[in-house]
Amino acid sequence: MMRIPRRIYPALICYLIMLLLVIFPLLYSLTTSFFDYDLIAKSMKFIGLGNYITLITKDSRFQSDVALTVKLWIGCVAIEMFLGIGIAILLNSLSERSRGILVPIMVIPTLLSGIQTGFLFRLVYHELFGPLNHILRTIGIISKPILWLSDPKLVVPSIIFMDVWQWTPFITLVTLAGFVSVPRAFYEAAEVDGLSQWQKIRYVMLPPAKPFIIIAFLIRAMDAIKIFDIIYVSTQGGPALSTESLTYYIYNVGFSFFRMGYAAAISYLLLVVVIIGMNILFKFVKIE
Amino acid sequence: MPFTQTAKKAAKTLLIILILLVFLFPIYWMIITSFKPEFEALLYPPTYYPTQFTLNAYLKGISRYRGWDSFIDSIQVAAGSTMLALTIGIPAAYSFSRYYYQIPKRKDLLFFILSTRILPPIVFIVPFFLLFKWSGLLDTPICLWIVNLTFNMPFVVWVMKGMFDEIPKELDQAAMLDGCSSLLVFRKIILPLCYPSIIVTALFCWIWSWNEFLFASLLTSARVRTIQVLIPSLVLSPVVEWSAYCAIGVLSALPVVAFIYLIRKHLVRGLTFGIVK
Repeated sequence: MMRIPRRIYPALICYLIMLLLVIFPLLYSLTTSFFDYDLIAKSMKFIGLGNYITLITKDSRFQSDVALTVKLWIGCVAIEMFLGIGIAILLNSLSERSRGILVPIMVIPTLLSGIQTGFLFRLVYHELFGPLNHILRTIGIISKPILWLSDPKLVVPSIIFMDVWQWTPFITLVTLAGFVSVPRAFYEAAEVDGLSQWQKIRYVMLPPAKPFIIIAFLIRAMDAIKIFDIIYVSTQGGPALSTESLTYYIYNVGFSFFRMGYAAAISYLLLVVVIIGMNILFKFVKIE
Repeated sequence: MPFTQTAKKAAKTLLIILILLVFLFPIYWMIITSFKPEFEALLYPPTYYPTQFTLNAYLKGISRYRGWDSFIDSIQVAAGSTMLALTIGIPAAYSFSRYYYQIPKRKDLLFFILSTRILPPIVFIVPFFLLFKWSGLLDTPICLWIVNLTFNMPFVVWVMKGMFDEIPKELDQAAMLDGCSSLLVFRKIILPLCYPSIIVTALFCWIWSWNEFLFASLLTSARVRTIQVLIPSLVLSPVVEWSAYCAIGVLSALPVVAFIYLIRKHLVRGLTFGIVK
């Protein structure tokens, strides 16, 4: 038996705790997903892969939720990256003093929770009392109130806008950190060499910022797929379940219907998708 | 030439003003609504500046709608989660950094700890619910301290290990030559060098624990109700006391914004030391 030096106790303790907090629940969930576990009726019936088969073949709600979640995921992350980096480039061209004032202000949406963001926009988007419709009406763009959160055609863009509003500053902040790490001398050399603005951005600013941008992208990609809080407060999955994200579906199945086995199965499918997705992303990013 | 320069500058300034407007307007809306009298929050057409400033909404939010209690609950949860994550995470990060080669299966351990952030929290909820029910910890801040570790601790280990890696091991060795035990080296020499990272890490743990909703809503309900759990229960209720809800909203955002404002100088430095590794 190997003698474990005292000095690595902290690392091992940490590992043990994560093991308990992560592996144990994962295994338990996995086992539960093979049962038809109804918390209310206190019945537990072993059905093997039954839950999974139902999910993939017969559950149309699951399928539409997957479609929605993917739509939100791609839409949000893509727009956030694009806008975030763009704004970072814009801010980088300002003096350090202006940046010092603007950045802490701009960063506030990222500090809010999903619940607070959903709440904010529920107010702003409100058909009657919300300022958005009022402003649009006063300018003359619309004549009838727009139902941002209840019109099936507008809900998804509205939600994407909320998420983009909340997380673009995060991308901007991290990208700026990357830009700021470039020594002034590089910029001056670029000026001397007569590079255009666009070339400066491409060859001087972006390369050193790449690791930062990649990290911000990975973090957002990991988080955006779990979107839940914003939807819970603003649309509650409506109208007619059209904005029910996967996490929301699991929440409903597990804690409104109390069908724990089925909820566990959905969770596991989500988990598998996330792991596969992240593996692909990691490989793609490491190749660069 | 000078004309295009000024035109460019003007366009830039306009763009920045537009961006600020978009990002600040909803917050501005919530703030002014929190100062409006009850009826004015539900006025059509909406007013962009309160006709009369009143703190009524705050008084109502704090007492009648349980705003203050929830605020305290949130502080309890966030503080406890942060302390727990730091207490376990920082020594662990130091271990990983300095004694890497003495840990069995070190690569797997580290990767495992860091990859848990990928997992959707919802996957854990049923086992945690049952575990805490069985141990009687349901509806207490303690259960939230523990579950918040799932996302706080990996972050602490990640950033702090990066920070510790940047400090040359020679420093440790020099101190130990002078007679310091490794514990003392850690406490008196290494840690003080890392204050920016520790502060930033603590800040993020606090913010994430404060903003956390899923675990809080499912594991607590009556005795502990964090402010994030309170807000939806109010907003989704039939009562439409928006000014009071906005007051609670402002309260819920204050600590986070205040902390970031205090820490703003350390922010970029503290983050970049660990993040890029």
